[in-house]
Amino acid sequence: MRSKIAQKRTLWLMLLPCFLVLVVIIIVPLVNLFRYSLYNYKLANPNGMIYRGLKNYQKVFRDKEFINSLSVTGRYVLGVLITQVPVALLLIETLSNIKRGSGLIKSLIMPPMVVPGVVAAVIWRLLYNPSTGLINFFLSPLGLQHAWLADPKTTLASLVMVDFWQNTPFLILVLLAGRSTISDDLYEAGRIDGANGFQLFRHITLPLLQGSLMIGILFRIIDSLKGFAHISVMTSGGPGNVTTTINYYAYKMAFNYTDIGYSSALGVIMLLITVMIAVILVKGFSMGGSKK
Amino acid sequence: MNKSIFKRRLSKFGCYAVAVILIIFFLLPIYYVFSMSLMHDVDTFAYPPKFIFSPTFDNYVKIFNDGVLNKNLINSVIISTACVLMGLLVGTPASYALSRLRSKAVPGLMFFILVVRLIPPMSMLLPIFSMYVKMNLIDTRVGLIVLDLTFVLPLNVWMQKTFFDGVPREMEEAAEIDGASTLQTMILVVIPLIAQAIVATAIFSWIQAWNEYLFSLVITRMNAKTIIMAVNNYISFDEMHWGELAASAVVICLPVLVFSIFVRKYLISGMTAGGVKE
Repeated sequence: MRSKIAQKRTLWLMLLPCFLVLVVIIIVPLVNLFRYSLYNYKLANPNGMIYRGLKNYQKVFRDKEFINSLSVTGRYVLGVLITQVPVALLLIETLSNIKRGSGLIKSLIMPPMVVPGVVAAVIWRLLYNPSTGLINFFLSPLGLQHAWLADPKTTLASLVMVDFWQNTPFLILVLLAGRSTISDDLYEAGRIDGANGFQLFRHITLPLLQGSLMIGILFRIIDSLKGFAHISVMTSGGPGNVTTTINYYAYKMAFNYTDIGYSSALGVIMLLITVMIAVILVKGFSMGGSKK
Repeated sequence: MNKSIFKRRLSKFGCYAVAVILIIFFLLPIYYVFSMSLMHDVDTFAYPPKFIFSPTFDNYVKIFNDGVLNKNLINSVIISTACVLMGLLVGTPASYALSRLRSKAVPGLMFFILVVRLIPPMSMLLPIFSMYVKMNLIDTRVGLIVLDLTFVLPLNVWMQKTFFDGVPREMEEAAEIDGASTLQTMILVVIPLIAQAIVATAIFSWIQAWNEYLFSLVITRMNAKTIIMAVNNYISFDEMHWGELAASAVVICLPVLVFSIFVRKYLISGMTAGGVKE
């Protein structure tokens, strides 16, 4: 009995260093983030922190650039979801029919998601190059050459395309993992009852895939909210501000304009948006009757 | 009857065709940058694009000879490896404890770690950056290691806890009866059983730290710059050095692509902080 207590104490001691580190590197900075957001705090003048209450937040909501970044972020995330989710769903219905070589196929579609975002951005910047890039070369027979990144009308869509290339594999693999847990017997039974492919998908795959779908969508939303490398390397938020997301706007305010107070307020808002989305998604899906 | 077999074959063929198209779409851009890294400068901006060309290693020779890339490479190796070691040193005992403790606090602590995965890196970076300015940690490897740990450590704890959970307790009870301490049991009995999974966690952490861009962009200047920043040398100064740009991109990806083959099985569970298991 005494050894049980000793064991318990050892386990708590093993836990301690990790949580001390996490408190120092995560909790303390987060507290500072909230604190800085209440101050007029410019890096150029680090001693001059002046308390200004919620004024930074008031400024945020009157800031046209912020409203723009909100709309850019919304359109970007929406673009990511409406391109990746349906395509991934369609693809897993096809790929799950493949038994032989499925491991190899998974390995071969994986590279984009492990390649660093910066490298993906460099590759696509070369591909999008208006005069020598591969994309315009392929489109030239159709007469569709275009300055994809330079034209403000197509810049955001071009970024959505890059994200599609880099992150759809993630969604496919998450959904395939979920799909592989659904028993083949269910589909066999459905087929015997005369259901067609779409009906099987609609009434078997979709409901049973809800848990994986929720996790896939949650991570796609959260990761595209914080997407930075693609924008930084390919567009720097431009042309003008058409690709300045909240994340990139906070970066610009902090490190180009050295306004830590104001960008901290943006950081807090971003944090709240992320948490809100996570809560809504998890709640929404669990009310939808999924098991997870 | 024949017709249905034919139909099934056809649909099977169709599935493989879709898979092949998909693989081409996902791999072609990587092949494109790889082939460009082997081109002479003239060929890189030839139009129409050249698919057949006489390959050269000039670009690689050039980027490795200018000295900056080597320094970045060393920094990246040191920083990523330090993150992995910290993850193992601090994270492994903690995840073992979380897996074995029967306390009501455990679900709360795990939830805290999951929430950390959701925090936007920018929200972490802003306060840490101003702390670093005061503490003179800008442009230091230590500074970058600590920043990277904000995501490497939670990831480590989450991944390893699920692995420890999979080890039946009977093994440990036998060891304890033989008089082994808790720490001995963990190191000598449990860890060997899940060594492969722990190595996968380490590799995965290494990849994540290696790929990190935002933190490196903001807090490094000259001394602590990582390899991921190398591409900026060829983008901002001279748009025309595409061969070298492509070569540096290949150098950056190569270790990641090689490592990812070993951790394929654990990749998805790692990226979703244990939310999905393959």
